[in-house]
Amino acid sequence: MNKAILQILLIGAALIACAHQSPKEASPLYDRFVEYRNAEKSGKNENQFFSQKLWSAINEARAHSVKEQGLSAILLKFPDGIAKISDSKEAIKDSKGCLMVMGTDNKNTPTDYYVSFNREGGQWVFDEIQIKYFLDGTQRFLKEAVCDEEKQNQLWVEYMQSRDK
Amino acid sequence: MSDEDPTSNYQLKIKVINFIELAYKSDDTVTVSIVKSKGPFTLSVDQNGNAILSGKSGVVRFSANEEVQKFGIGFKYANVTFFGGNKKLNYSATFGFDSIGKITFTSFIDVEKLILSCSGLLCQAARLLKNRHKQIDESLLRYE
Repeated sequence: MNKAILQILLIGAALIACAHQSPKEASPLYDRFVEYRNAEKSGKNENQFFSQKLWSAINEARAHSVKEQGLSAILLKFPDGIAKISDSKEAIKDSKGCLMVMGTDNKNTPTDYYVSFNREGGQWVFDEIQIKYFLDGTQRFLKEAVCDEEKQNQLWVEYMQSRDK
Repeated sequence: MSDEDPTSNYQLKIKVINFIELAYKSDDTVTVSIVKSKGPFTLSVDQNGNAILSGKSGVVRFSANEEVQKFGIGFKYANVTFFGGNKKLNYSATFGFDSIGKITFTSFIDVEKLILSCSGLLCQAARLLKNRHKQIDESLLRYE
């Protein structure tokens, strides 16, 4: 009898452990981001991480001098604009995904990446990169990964209005 | 990144202030009225430098052509949303680049500091306004 109870308890504990692990396991976009972060950037397979549109644009920008690149040089540092990662969130709908990576840059400025993904040929690929700096010391206001600029702005205004009350 | 680095956080913030100064040069009355409002109000600039400052008090159209040429290849647009707070004008600015992505930052303009430290036309107007407020305050004190 005691053995049966013990077995049930063990199975229950295993199920709970699995349930707690599942959110960590279900982060294909973040896993892909980390895979690229750890990959050799000058490797010939670098393009496998990008949609064709984004890869062409990056290569075109890289062909220019840093002076000509201007502000876009900030985006070309991807994914190393964040020096220290603190958390991430992601949202997937069909063959589109949005990854929010939170952390700080090399000057300890709170910095986020919002990366739009496409599902192509059975793999997740980066389709658009957004970097965000919090230069005003405000707290992050997004509760979930949002890559749409209009929605981000709307949520920012709502956050400012709620803070003002 | 030094402050002179065009990609530094400091330079990003200067770009937003420059836009406001250009709007002021185009229409001082409406620009001051919009900037002094609580908002939210918006500033949009396209790749050719066609810019619009838009709020409840009105709309200012101006050219930021010279400014956007300094932003580098692939610049497509800038959108800034402002929201006024207590002495602070908070904003969220996004600079979009063709096919690569966007740079966004949240920051604020300290209106008091702008009045005291800058030298552009907007600042001169702000100083005049501040003096006018001071005069009004002083005249009101006489009636207390």
